[in-house]
Amino acid sequence: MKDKLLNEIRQYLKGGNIENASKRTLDFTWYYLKDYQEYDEALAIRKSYNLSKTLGQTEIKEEDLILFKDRLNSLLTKIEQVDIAENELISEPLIEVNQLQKTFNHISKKFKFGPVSITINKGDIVGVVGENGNGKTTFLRLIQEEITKDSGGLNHFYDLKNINGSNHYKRKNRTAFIPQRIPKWRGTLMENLIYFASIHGFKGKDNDKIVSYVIHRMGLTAFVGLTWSQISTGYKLRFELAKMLVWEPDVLILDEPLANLDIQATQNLLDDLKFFSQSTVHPIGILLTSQQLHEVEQVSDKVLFLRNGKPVFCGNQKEFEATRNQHTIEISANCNLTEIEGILSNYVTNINGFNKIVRITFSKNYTSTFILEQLIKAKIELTYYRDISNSTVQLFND
Amino acid sequence: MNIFYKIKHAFETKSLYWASNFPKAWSLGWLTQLCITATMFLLAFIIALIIPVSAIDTPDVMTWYALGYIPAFFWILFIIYRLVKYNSEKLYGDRSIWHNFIELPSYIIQFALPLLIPVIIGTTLTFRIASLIDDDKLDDNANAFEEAQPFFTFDYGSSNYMYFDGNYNMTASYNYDYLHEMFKYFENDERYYKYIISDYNREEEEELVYEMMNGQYGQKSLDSLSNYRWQMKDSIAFHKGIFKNKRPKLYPYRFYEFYTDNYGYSYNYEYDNDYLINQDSLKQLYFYKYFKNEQFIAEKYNKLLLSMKSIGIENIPFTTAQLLNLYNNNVYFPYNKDLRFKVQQFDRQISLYKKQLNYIKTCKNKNFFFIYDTEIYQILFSLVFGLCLLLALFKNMNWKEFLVGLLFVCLLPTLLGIFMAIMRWQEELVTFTFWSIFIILIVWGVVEKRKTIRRKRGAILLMIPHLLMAYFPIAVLGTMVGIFNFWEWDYFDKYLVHNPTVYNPNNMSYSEEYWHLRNQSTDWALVGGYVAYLFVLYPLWIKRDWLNFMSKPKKS
Repeated sequence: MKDKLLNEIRQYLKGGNIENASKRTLDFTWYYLKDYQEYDEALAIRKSYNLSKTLGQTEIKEEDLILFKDRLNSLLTKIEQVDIAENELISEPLIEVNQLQKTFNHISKKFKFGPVSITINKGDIVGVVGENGNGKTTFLRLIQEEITKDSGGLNHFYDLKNINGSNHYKRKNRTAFIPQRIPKWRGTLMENLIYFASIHGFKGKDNDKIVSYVIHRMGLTAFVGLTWSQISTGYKLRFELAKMLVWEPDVLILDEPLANLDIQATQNLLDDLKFFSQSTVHPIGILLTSQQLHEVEQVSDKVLFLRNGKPVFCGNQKEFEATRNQHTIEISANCNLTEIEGILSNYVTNINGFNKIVRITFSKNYTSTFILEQLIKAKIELTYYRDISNSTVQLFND
Repeated sequence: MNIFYKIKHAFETKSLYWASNFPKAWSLGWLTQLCITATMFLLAFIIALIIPVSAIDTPDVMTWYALGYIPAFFWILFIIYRLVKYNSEKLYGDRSIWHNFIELPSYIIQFALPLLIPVIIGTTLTFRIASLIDDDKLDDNANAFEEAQPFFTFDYGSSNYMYFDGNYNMTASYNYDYLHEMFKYFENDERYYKYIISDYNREEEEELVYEMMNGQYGQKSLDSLSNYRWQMKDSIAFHKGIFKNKRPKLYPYRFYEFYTDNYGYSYNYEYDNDYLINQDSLKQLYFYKYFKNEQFIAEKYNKLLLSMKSIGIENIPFTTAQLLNLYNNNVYFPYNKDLRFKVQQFDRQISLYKKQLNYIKTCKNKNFFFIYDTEIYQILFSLVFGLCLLLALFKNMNWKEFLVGLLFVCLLPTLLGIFMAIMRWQEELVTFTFWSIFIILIVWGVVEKRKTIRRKRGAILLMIPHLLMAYFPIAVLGTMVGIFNFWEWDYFDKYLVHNPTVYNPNNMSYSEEYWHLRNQSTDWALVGGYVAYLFVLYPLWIKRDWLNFMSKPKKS
């Protein structure tokens, strides 16, 4: 983890990505050098970097960037000289779900969820995917104990005594839940962050430290004095995440967090989630639902695909690929579907197209490269290509 | 502007420090509260200091006291707003048992603080009014009034002292309250204290005075008491329906008419033989001793006029000589326009004088009912306790559930009230109904809570039992009294004493000790309920149970 982080920082600095370099440097010092001067320095750099950005813009003056780069380089040199001992991330179960079931008996519609079995470990990101109305939010609410289960087991293994049984309050005390519609909060961001951390046991200096780390780490430096009505929807989510991170929950549950984010913000959020889940200091289990399958799959350790409340697949991408006996790719080209069918008719088992995207399924005897070669030979100009052989997106059409 | 910014900044920094170190205190807005407390108390004190106060124009303490509740009300609203704004329980914040112990008392202190505003205003004003006249001077003035009192020609001290209709017929109500004057003669009699602490009705009071006069002081102080005694006898007769008509109060001739027995109403002399025996001698005694002695009356009037002037009542329309003239000539003033207005003016001045003396005396004794009466504070405490409990315990409910629950809470006493009215206030039935509802709600709520996990319904139902649990001991005592007639049990016969009266010579009544025991039992049942709730039930069981209950999953 340590070396990986240092390499990452070097890479970012090389590429001139001060945003990520300053963020990772702060992360690094937070994890390993929290009580040292290096942390304060990293915090100061990150803070001034955040403040140098104008609200709503990401561009910074060239001379400022050079200055930040120099400061980070000199800090990196200092950090590299410190001898740091590192803990290994031990993957222990946090929540164990066994044959969980729930039935909704509405007059107009009856919906049966489950049975679902899954284990969420420390450091895991579990992506819950599926079409609308197939039970994703129900699953999250069951895990969060928002609604009662009909049958099945739901066990929590947080590092606390008396956590099971009727002690619902203690379990909810260790689980953070960010709903799709973020509830309105009052006061300023700063007040809320301090309050959230302190009611969860971070008081005094500990509170100051974790709150300032999260604020600057999440790029909220310029926003701390703002209130609910003064920030955008995207930032509301970012702030909600910050509110949860300041008290270091054991499990973080997010319902459709990517719905209102732009491409860059989505990548940043997923990157952050992956990073926090993998922390060797305080690893957390993350559970999220989303419609953006490719993005979720990139960061998820497990994917739970739900259809009509039933789990169609539960596992990682490799396991999914093993269940499929064919390759599948998606392409987009400046020709029509019939033309592609004519070129590939000898190799593929199925071709179908929707909205200029053509999905091609072929035997494992062929590779994706071979199929692409055939198209290039026929002088087809490709505008988009994605190998979805190990992606659960295929299940949408099954 | 710079100073303002600095103050704001300092305040914000301190606020964040509190948020970081004492989140629960911060969420209640303790820092803001301390500032508000200091400001409000200071403002209340300053306002009470700048209100103009003089001996003949004293502000009404009770009005100012009541006005003090307006800022107190807004202050309480502010606390509730803060509670809603930062609710750690809805956020599932950390919670230790110590929080449970501190929570409710801290809420009570916080909600009780605003209620000190009216007390500060009231107390400051009371002290200012009390210090207007020295104690000795006030006594002198009061004596001057009391000594001159028998010779007043008017119905002083009464709000509807007299008025004239279109036909110049003077009427007046028979409401002169002389009883408190009577009691000053009985300060050494224990029955006097019984009167003070109990709630006799008017008739019983009069009977008590009558007994006391006959028994202990009847003949001895005949001279000084006879005047009151006449009035008292009239009053008793009046209340018992002996007088057919209201007695007209033609006070310029009061004693004259009294002497000539020209009342214009019939009196049932059979009612009281004692009256018949003594009446002539009394009348004669009074008449000859005082009412024919001009010098004596002049002396008293002079003294009164001087004391009135001393507190600022001037332009008195009659000189002493004129007043005496009025007496001697027996002028029937309703037919003399000038005189009538003078009489009215003088009466107003006398009324004002008496009112002000009484008011200042009341302030000196600090016995304003609302400000110093513990019963009122008991009621206020119950209200504050209920409010704190509502907020401390039920603050993690949704607004909808909370309001429906509150509606239930209000509905129960309303229904009970209607039921009581229909059943003609039969205590046993009402107590039985109350307990039935209480038990049904507990059982129903617990069933909802434990079995079906209908959280919303369970929460609404359990609100009432949770609120009423503090009143469990007093309810038990109430049931014992209401249904089992507890205080009449044979065990308490040892407190019976022989207490004869004129009307009931063989009367056996309970001793002072018994009444003391009764009052103490009620007080302790109430206080015991509060203490047990605050320091045992709430922190050790109710709060924890409620939090877990509210964290339970919902059905859908």
